[in-house]
Amino acid sequence: MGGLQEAVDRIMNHFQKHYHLMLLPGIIFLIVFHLVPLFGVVIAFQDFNIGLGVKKSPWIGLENFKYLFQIRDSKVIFYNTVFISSGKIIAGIIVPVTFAVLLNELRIAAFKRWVQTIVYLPHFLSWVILAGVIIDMLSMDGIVNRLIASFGGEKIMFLASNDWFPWLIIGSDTWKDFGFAAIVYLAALAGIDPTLYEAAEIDGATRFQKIRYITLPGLVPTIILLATLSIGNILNAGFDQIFNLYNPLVYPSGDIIDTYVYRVGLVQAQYGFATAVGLLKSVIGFILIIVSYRLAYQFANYRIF
Amino acid sequence: MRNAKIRAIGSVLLALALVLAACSGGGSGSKDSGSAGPSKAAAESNGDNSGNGAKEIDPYWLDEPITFTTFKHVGANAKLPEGDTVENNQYTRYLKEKSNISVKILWYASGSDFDQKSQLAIGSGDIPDVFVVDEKTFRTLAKAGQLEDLTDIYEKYASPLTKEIHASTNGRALESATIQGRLMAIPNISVQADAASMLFVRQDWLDQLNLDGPKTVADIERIAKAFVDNKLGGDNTIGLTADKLDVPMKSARHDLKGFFAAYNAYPGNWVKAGDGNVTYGSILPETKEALGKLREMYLAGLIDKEFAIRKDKDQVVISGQAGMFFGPWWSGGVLRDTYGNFPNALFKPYMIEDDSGSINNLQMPVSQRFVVVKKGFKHPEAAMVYLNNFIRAERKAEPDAAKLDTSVSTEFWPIGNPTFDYADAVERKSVILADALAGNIKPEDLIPEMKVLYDFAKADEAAPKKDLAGWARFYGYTEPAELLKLPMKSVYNEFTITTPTMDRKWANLKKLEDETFFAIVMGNKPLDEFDTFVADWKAQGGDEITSEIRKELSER
Amino acid sequence: MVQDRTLSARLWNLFLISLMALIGFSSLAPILHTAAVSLSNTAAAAGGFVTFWPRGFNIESYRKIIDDPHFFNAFWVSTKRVFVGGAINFILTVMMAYPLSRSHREFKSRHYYMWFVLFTMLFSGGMIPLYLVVKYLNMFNTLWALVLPGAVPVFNVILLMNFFRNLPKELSEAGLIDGAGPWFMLARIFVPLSLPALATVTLFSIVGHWNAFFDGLIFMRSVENYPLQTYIQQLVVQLPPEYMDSTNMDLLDKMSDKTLNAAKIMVSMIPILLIYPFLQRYFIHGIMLGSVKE
Repeated sequence: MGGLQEAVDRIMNHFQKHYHLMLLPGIIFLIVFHLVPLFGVVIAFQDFNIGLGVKKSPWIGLENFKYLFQIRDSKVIFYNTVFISSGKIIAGIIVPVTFAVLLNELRIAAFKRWVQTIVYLPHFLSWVILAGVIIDMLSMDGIVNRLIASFGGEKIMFLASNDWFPWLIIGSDTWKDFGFAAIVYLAALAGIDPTLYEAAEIDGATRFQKIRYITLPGLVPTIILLATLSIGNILNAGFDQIFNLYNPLVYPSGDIIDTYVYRVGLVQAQYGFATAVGLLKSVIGFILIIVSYRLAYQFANYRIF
Repeated sequence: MRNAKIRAIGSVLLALALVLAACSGGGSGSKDSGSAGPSKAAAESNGDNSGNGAKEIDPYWLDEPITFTTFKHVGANAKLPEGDTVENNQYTRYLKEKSNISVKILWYASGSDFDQKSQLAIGSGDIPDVFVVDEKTFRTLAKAGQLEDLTDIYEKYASPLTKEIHASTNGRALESATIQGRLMAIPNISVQADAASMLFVRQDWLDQLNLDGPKTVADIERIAKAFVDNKLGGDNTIGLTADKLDVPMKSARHDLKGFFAAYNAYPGNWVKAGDGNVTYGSILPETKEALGKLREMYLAGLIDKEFAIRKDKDQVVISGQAGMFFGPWWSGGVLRDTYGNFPNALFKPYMIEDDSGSINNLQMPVSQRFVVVKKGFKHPEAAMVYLNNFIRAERKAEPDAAKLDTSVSTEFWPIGNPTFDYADAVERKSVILADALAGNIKPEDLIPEMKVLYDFAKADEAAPKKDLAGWARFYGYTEPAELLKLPMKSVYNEFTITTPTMDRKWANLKKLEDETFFAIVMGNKPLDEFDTFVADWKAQGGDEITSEIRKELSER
Repeated sequence: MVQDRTLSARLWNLFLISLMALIGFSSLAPILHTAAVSLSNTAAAAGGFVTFWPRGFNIESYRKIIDDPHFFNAFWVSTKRVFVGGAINFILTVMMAYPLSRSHREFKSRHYYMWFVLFTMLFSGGMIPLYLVVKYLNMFNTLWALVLPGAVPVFNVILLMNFFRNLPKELSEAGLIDGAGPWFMLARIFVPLSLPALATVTLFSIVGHWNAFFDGLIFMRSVENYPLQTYIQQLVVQLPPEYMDSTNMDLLDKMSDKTLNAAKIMVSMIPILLIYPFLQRYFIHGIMLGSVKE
């Protein structure tokens, strides 16, 4: 059917122009406000003095990067960052997906709407406030410890313990933001063809089978997408949160790249260093995204983007 | 997503830096014709423009009207009367009238917003002609060669009053603004009252137990134990609150500055050690002693068990749980809120002495704010003249200045209000207040600022603690101010900026210090860990830094 | 809808409802606490005595925020920003997501665009260069500075693109057979069928604009032009250590004024609480029903 194929190809070629056109305005904005300012990354390679500006600050090549790795605790800091981040990514998939799927099972529309709105709210609270609440709850006289004591256990100073601290960070962050990811999953769930469910119903599928064979597969593309984007952020373990919750006792498990960089900045404006760290984070994140993309393509013939 | 990244970078930029990019300099010589010169106070001859030799310079008036640009810090809630704006208010009008200077304000912001914004502005070349900066920024700018040399300007244009005020610091103020022999900024004078760390104690608890107020650390320990044993604050009574384990120059609530000072220990500061050399306070034996005592007290349950974790330390005081806390003279706010919850509570402040009976006080840097002029600005003398007028008006040394309404914050002076007060301003005001209350000064003769305090004090006399907010306003000038007048041994932090090695290694050294000190006090590590810390500290860069600093100080 | 009435189904439902209620409560708890604090007396709040119910009820903090002459002005600026910015976001998100969602066969250059977009999401030059760009374009103190730099919400674009991709191929094929061009396909077929995803990205965009405060601070010269969050932020300012001394006692009091801080949060949240339920109606099931015949 050569003729038809040619016709289709011709139409497709015609469409290209329109696709480009659709993208044009957005691309222009991206170029102006994202690409152009990228010249600022040269600061990462300078001993930047704001007094001298970008043009005149001395060039020091990779010194800033080297410094990051020369820090005495750099291994610990990197480890903490990756550990906490990974924990957040994993929990940040499991919890919202589970929640979205379960909420989806409910049939009372009004209740669903309310719950959906409410769980999104903690996202709006700043960590300054939440840290205060968490510290109160976990204090020696707080709810948690009192419960433990009533069961005859020994009270724990959670926020001073290197064993507990990373998990607290992961847990509280997941609690705060699962509502946000859940929205995306709920939207995706709303887009699943209901006839699939009806067909399964007719075939006598149980609730769980429906979830397993229809709902979850329907969510997989979205899950993979969000997971991949999160991986791009892996070296951002949550400065605001940790800054408001940590203390010198939990540096060994809780000090991350950003908190360290912050303390360096207190000594002297280390603009070059901060930019270098930011650049490193972006590069590593980008590489990881590319790797994920390739893996998905190789093994599942699936293009994430 | 982007916001998080921006904020991360933004918060690192907290330490300021200024940029002088190739932005065209501020407009000099504005076009408006000079307005009629007002009467000139202070003795000076009428500046005659015809160049007959040795023309006398009027430190308060510029013959040609000058406009310079600036940006500044304005508190979020600073109020202005109807019709006035940041650009046009009583202070700007006063300035124009008295000095022929107008100021164009590019923008203004408050608190850390101001820091971030100014950094960006400068980094992009938006440097104004004249503005106020902190020490770090000042030195960065100076190092980058972006500031105008003001040595001669000061010589020629500083008014007698200005010179007097600077001189009251024994030259330390000007010294701090001098780089390699040249004066690169006009420094302000810090209010030293903020340095002292007083111990606020629940007097009602002391009375209940029939105890005397504390004078020494041993007293503190004893009292804390009594409070805790008797559960005066409930089951979880806290004897003494705590926060960080180093000593800030500016006293902050819940720090242990007064405690450490009683051991003559100043961790976190570069002080003259016994041998006369400048050494880092945290590695000196006095610090070890102090930490040892803190450790004992902590393990005995006398210090807030969760001091390392808690972010809101005021809460334990305001909730009636804690019996003592260290704080600056202006801690009235916390007292006010405690009284709000417990009308029968009563606090009294005390200064703690060391073994030899002396009260030690680590002073603040003499100057914390510097007025700088952008290099190349055509009329740097305008900055000096402006300041002369500002200082004179603030001192009420000029009749029209007395008519200024002091309920309008002095931040509205065009470039802001770096303090140029006598270092003992607080003590002086407390004397005035006491005199007024005793009837020695007539209320009508008080300057508006003092009158406000006087009114609150009088109201409180009539109905004690009825208006708690008002009470908190003047309280600092009573009991706490009295303590400020006690003789104290002044100790100085000899080096408040950074060296190149510090830039690289300090964060790490500080981390080591914090981790060790907290572990020691909370009992996780034995006291002798301190010695290991000292050795590590020296090996990991401490010695290097110490010699760098000593070298730099000897070259000043 | 056929309701399953067996005992196990009912138990399951009951379990779910209780679970959701519990989760909902845990999410709501800090909000209730904040609301209670915002309506309490300062001393009680500072002493930590407020849990879920106000102590010493008063609306002082709200009055402080609202009485401020700039408050309504800032509110208006934020509203304008949400509308203009939101509209721009919406249009650009939709227009970009569609071509990107086409397969390589249909749109040859899509990979280049896709990776470019991804790149911009990850890499940033920092604040100073952006500041310079905005300055160079003379956008300081204008609404454009708030609306244009973030004109393309890349994350939303990727989300919507993903959603478009997962719509059945039959849709575009049917459209093609009917002679529809890309614009028509987008506007008449894809958009109407993507309401849940559109509602999502719209929500994110609105929330983003409403909550943004940093750009308002940096790009606006005077308080009159501050959007609401920037304005409130500096009302309840965080003082860095250098400013913490007796010359700033007023500010310091404000900083530790818990009720004021709490009121600020509530004020920022309320508009979102109003918008969200409105958008929720678009999270409809079965939007695809009947659109594709097997």
